[in-house]
Amino acid sequence: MAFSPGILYGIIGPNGSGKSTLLKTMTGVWKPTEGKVFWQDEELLKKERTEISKVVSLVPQTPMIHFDFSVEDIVSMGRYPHGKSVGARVDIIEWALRIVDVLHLRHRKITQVSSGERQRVYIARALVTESPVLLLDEPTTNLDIRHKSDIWKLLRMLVDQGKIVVVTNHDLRVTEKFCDEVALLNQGRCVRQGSFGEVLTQDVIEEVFGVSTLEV
Amino acid sequence: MKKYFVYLFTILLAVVPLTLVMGDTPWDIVWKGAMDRLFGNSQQWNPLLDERLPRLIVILCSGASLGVSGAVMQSLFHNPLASPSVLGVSCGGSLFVVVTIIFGWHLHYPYSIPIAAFSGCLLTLLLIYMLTRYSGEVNLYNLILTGVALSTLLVAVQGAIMYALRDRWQLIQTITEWVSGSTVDRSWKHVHMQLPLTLVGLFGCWNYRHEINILALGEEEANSLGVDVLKVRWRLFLCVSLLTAGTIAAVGFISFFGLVLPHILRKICGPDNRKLIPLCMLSGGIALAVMDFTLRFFELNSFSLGNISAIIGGIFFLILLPQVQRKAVQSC
Repeated sequence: MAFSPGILYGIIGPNGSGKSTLLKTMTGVWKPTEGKVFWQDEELLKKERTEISKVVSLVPQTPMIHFDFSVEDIVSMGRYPHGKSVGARVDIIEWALRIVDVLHLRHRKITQVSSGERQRVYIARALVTESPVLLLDEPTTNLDIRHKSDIWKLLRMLVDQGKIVVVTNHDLRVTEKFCDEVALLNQGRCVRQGSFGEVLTQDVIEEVFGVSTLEV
Repeated sequence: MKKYFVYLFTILLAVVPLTLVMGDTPWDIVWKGAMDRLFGNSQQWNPLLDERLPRLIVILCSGASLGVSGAVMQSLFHNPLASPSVLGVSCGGSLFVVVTIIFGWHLHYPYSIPIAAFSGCLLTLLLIYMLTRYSGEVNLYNLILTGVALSTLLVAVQGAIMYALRDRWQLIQTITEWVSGSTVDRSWKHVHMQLPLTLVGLFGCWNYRHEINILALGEEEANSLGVDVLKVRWRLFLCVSLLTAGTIAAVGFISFFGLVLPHILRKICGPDNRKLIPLCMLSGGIALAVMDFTLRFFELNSFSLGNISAIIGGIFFLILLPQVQRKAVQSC
């Protein structure tokens, strides 16, 4: 599989096909059992942990919350790969908070925000890493329609700025609408990569998803 | 936040002179003797210089060590009820010290107790590492289970040894007094035993305060944010072992303190370890000094510092328990 700047990628596939696993492997959170991850012709996972995090950042699907850090503290932790004084670059942190519409929540505890707001906080944290590659695992799952639309517009803006954005999504119609290219996974393998129409042919839908149509 | 430090320093400035002044010998005699020792030719033993001052340093170091190691363990294990003893290193240190006392090595080699405490803590840590690697993945659940199992075994072995020696009542008395956590007869020898371990341990925990925050989010998130989870976690375990070893060597076993204090402070200042760790350092020392002062002021000779800490800590724990249970239900 290959990902290039300027293209919004969607990773699709049935449950258990390996979508989240793929993202975690690309960030080195999980070690791959096969294959390698390359960034600009160098093996990414052989680099230092902080160097990997400067290249690729991950927005997890369901992050665990153990302590009630403030929203601003959570977002500022995204600056860690750039140096230990995580409070530095307040301008970037404020920009990220504003762009995902959680600036008004900055002092609130993360346990006191809704799941949708929490999702946006974690997107903000990924933005402050300033990494050229952004991986998002079901980023709009808990969002209302307005914020879903806002997030997809944000991702489009980041892609237009030259970032590589890869999103996993269960909603195939939304993926078709917003993603420039999709990669279909099944049982841990990439079946096809290309435009939505090229990848999701009738045969593939029946074979991979076990249904005859994408309409529910 | 700054106001808490101001309050704490104010309390410290009050506690220190009270602790140094209180004693059987009148203060004017104590002060004169101290001045003669420092600026004159006197070589006479002085309560202030040879007993009260080293005891205060030991108490402040122990309180800071227990507070900080509790805060670190709670963040690393994502559990506000974790304590410095969750990995069982304190039980390992304790067992080694008990063996040292039984064989009388502490009578011949002055620093055998801190060496035993440190060795016991470190070997226990190494054993936990090897056992968790052997069982598969080195994750937090395996660490906790291994720590609990090892603690149980080490406590049982210590108990069996003491039961076997129950007829040697003087030895059992010495061990019991030490295990109960005591600051009686503390001297500069105890400061020499504890201070290096405390300074290195506290510095290590302070140095990793940003990483501890990120590790509190979870292993996968910490990895994805650039923290080398394995390396940092084991370094922090080593720092906690140093702090635990120093405390065991100097004052013995003080339970519940490292569990309750960071928990209370987290409610005041939040979970940010950049604030919590220095707050634990200061508050821990002050709290333990106040407890010790209270014991001596009211002449509660039947109780040791470890007893009082366990009683007060247990009461606080019971008060905090409903809130912790409510949070656990909400997170489920």
